[in-house]
Amino acid sequence: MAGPWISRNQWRERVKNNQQQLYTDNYFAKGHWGLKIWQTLMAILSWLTVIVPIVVTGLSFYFALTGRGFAFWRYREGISEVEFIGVLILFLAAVALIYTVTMAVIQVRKRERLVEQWPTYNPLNQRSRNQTVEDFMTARFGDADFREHVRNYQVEPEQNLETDQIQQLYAQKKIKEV
Amino acid sequence: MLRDLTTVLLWATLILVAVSFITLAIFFYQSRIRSNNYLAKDESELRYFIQQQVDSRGQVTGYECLLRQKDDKGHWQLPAHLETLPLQRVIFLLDGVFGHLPKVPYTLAINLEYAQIISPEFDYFVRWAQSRITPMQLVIELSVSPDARYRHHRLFLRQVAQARAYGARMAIDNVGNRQADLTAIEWMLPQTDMIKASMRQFRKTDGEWLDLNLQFWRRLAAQQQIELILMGVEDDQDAQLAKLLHIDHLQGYLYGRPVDISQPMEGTREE
Repeated sequence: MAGPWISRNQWRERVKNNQQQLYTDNYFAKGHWGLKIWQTLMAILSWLTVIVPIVVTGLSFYFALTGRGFAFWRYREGISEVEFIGVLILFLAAVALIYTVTMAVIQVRKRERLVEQWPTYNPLNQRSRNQTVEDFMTARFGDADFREHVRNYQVEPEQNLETDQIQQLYAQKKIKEV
Repeated sequence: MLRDLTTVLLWATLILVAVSFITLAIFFYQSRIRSNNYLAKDESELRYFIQQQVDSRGQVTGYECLLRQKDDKGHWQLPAHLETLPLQRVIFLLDGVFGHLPKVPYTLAINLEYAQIISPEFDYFVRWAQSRITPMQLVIELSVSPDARYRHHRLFLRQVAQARAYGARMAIDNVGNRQADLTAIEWMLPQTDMIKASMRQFRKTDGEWLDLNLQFWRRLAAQQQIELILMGVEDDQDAQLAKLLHIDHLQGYLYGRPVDISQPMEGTREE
């Protein structure tokens, strides 16, 4: 059967080349001429429903403004409605522009003056967390020098860490907060 | 009706855009073009010089960092516009000093301006500085002038309280001998750990009247459980006076001049 279906070997080949088939569409497969003609026609018609009103409104408004070109309609209300909607869109665009520019300024300023200049975690807690873990490991496995240089070490069953043991240590010392 | 609405909306749009761009332009001008961050510029070479503080037995208890700037002739001078020193730069200046000091729980004092203490970076500064100089203890010194106007008292007290919660200490530098000097700092005392008095302010010339003498400051400090440090101790006579008044924390040329410890051999060029 022709179509999007591929053999197991072809599939393996594609996966190997990192060309995974992520979706199927009969429109782009071989054959299916009825589908292709119907969908192309529908797409063109749909686009026309967008373009035609724009052209009609555009030309008529252009005629109302300049007196040149071709007017499909000449109603006074129509013209003032186009003007109103135009200004409304302009207004909304201005609000969106001001909002985005302001947010960008705030964001850049915050990045430059805060995030890139200062540690945003609490360095004092960080320090005592390091010390807490260091003390804990020293008590359980020996000091840092020993731990880092020992060649063979057998961990006794009672030396194993329990679930969340380090987190619990932090919580005890109230330094869990980063 | 619709026409009127259109006109109003159009004007509103134009005014909105104009106002926001003028605001942005002013903001940009203030923060970038007219910036006066003299000490923020990289070409200004800055360094902390170190002066010792000792107790009554002559043992070192702490250090004060004194900011110096290299001038054109290569001399290290006290820079102007101290308030423009960015707090972030202080961290790296402290790093340069801390590496050369013994790692013992002494105090390490730096001078800040009022504006720096009430700035939003202060909180970040204190906890970062304190974490980098541990086991030393950060002391923030502030000189208060009775003639200047200090605003945002509550913000100041809140910031200092937070700094003290991080383990730093607050010192009022160079208290004076007039009643106005006391009035100017009285509201800070609840959040103050140390008061520093300079000998220079309290040496009487003939017939001069001092509203407040050293004895007064010593009593006040004892009352409020504040540490009193006598600065500018220059000779044995000053040291005798300190002993007489039971002042245990001393600083001055008698115990050591400000030195550049990153160049230990030639550190005493200072006047």
